[in-house]
Amino acid sequence: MSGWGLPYFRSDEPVPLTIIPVEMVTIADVTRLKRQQVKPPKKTKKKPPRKKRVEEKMPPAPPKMASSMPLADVKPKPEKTAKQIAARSPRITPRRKPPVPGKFTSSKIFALLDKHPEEEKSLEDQLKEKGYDQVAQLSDIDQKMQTMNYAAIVKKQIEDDNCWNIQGGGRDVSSMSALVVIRLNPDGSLNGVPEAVDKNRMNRSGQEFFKAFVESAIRAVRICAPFKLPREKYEQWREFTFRFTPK
Amino acid sequence: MLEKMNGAKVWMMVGALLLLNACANTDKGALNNASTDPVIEDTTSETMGTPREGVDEETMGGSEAGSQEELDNVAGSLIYFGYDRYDLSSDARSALQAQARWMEGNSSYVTVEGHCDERGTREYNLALGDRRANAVKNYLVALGVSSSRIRTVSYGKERPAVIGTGSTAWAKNRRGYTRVN
Amino acid sequence: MRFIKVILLSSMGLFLTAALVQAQSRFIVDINKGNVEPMPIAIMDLRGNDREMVSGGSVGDIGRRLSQVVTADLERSGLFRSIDRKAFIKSSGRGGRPKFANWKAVGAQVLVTGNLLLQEDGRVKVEFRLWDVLGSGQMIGLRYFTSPKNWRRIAHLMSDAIYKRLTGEKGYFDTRIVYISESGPHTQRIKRLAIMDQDGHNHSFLTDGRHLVLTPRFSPTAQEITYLAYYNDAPRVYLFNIDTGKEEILGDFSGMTFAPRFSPDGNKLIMSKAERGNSDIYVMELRTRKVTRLTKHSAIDTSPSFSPHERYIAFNSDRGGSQQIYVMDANGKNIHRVSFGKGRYGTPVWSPRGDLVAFTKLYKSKFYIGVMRPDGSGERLLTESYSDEGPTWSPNGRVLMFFRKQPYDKNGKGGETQLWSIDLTGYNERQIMTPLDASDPAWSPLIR
Repeated sequence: MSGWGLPYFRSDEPVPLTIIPVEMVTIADVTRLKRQQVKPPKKTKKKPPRKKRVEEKMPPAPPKMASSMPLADVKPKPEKTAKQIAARSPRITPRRKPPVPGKFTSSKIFALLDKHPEEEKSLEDQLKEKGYDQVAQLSDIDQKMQTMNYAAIVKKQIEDDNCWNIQGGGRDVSSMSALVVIRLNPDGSLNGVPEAVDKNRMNRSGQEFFKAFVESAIRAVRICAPFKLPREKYEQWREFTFRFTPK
Repeated sequence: MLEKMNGAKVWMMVGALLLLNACANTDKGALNNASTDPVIEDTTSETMGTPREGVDEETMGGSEAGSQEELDNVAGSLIYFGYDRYDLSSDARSALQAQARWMEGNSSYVTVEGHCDERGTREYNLALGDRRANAVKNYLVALGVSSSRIRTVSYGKERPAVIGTGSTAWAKNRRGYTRVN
Repeated sequence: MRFIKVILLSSMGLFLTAALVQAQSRFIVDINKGNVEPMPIAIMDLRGNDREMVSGGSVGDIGRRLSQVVTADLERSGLFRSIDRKAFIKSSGRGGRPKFANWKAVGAQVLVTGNLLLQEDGRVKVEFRLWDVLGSGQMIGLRYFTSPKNWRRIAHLMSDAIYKRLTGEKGYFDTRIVYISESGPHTQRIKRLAIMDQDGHNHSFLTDGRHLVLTPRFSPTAQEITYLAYYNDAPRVYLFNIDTGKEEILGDFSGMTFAPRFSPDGNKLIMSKAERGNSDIYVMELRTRKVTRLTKHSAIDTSPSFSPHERYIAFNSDRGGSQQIYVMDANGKNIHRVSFGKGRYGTPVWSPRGDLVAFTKLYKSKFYIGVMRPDGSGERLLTESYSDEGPTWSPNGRVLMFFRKQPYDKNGKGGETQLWSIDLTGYNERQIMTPLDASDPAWSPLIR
């Protein structure tokens, strides 16, 4: 069920993704790159070892004990190749600056475009911001039908294979919804790390439910990949967004 | 002695005697003696030759005056309530009237216990038991018993009299029990 | 500057067009169907030196027991399924990062590893990490110091940390249950106050059973329990100090006081007092012992329960003719009924999350444990049996514990009374083992 595309018998550590797709610079790419340059959050688990110590907490109860301190993340092995390190943080390295005329990086331009504070915007607003539409507004009916097809294929795969494990009973779980963007390789396996659209909300205090919810969605995607999509139409499904909403 | 009593009292006594005579299980002789001399021994009733039956003999020779046993025998110490109710049925009232009469004849103190069946939640049943106990007390007080002689306590559903599932068992547990202290 | 602006605008234009074009090849996939399955978690024995001895065994022993307690905690929650140790592939990494592929191969989605180290001062240092097997990274890493005897609490703290990280919700494993231990014939039941860890361990009796004790509750802030006890036919509310074992009658009331609970801030005690057949609700400030009457009605008013921020009180009353649930402001105003279904309702308890009120319901000879929103809507029944009663919430508001009594047979046998728990979702109904029969459970807050 795991879809890294790596054979299991490799004895060194599995790596999230080694395949870096060769991209032709099309308009599509540029647009995608624009999105990428939204500052990717540093995943806390990939931080360099923290020296921070939590103060000893003495509980009032008789069994005195624990001070709990966060452990530094275990350092990756030194034998890591540069390639593996790059792949570990795929969001940062593989995406080059777009060949935009002038000195402006797309990040600056995007920053100018996107002046909203990262609040809990409605899903519709988020989608519109990122350039999506509720339903792909296409003049080409065929293409529209095909993307709906791809959506149906992927949806069926996730739902029929029971990939998404929700934890029942969480407060507000019935009103939760999360957008997760994924990028795929031509063989349908995951390219990079699936990412929540509303990343900032995930890491805010008080949003632990949302974070756990998003993580369950990301887990579902990891479990279900690779997706069985027609290779010859790769351009049309190489990136899309899941919207997880439990019923 | 009779001459010393006034007329009304004489009639009452005659009436009482007649009533008592109407009861099947009394020993005339003994009662006649009782109206004049306190009977300490059984011998006089024995010579009458009538069969001795339960209650009166026992009262004469057995239970202590003012004891639980006496109460149980004379008036009964238990009355029963409907499901989730604390009002007194007519049976309950009759029994309580007898209890009140009994209490008038002695100086005993009692605790009225209020109980419930198990078909209710614990705390609500504690409150309901308290209501039942007080319903009994209030009625006894209305009948003339001094309030200071009656304490109340609720046991909710904690002390069933009968163990069982079903309406018969449950009905037996919804009770007010007058306990001599 | 103007040149820059021109470039800027033209670039923006370029991007916007690109965005529109790109919109044609992006799409959204709606996923609505998920399943509620326990998450497969692999919990390795915490590594410790098998030759270093402490009270209770070797450090290695403690590590193994610790892992077992964590495994049991997480499985009991119904949200996790631990991977059978026999399936673990050897050489899954000693220190450093685990070989995630091996863990994926056995079906684990998350992994727990760790170790214990005896310190010079006799304490033991426990470290553990939670790994995201699918994402190949560390999720949490924590370190504890404690005396070796306290290893159970470390296990529960670990369970809480793992639970919280994976569900987003606070755990409930570092908690205790106080309850009434029952034995003897049902006509003269012996009832004793008892306390245990939420997993049933560390059990002890707090009273000797000579006097009837009922309905205990924990203080949220102090090592105190309140309950109803009968001495000399006088049922009254008492306070019990767990540390000193001392018992103290609360106040000097002429009538029965019962149904006591602490307020969420621990400063007040709310209860019922019965006077001449009428039960009303009173609040006492614990420091000053000042008493305020909250309800003034000839009906039975009892089983009060504060909302988590003490703005409201839910309680049981028959002022409408039958036993129902009402809610009022904490000052006694604005009393309104919230239970409207068929049957009778009792024992309202407000969830620590604030979103629900749990209750006992009686309808047509059956008992139910259920929940409803504080306005009475959304009533959901979670259990049903001959006799289920007295729900108590876990501190995170996800699990309810209650007691269940069996019916008697024609010979008067039966009547077994035991503690059970069920998740808010209605799943994972399970019995809590106790040495004897048990009733009236009350869940402590998180100990820390």
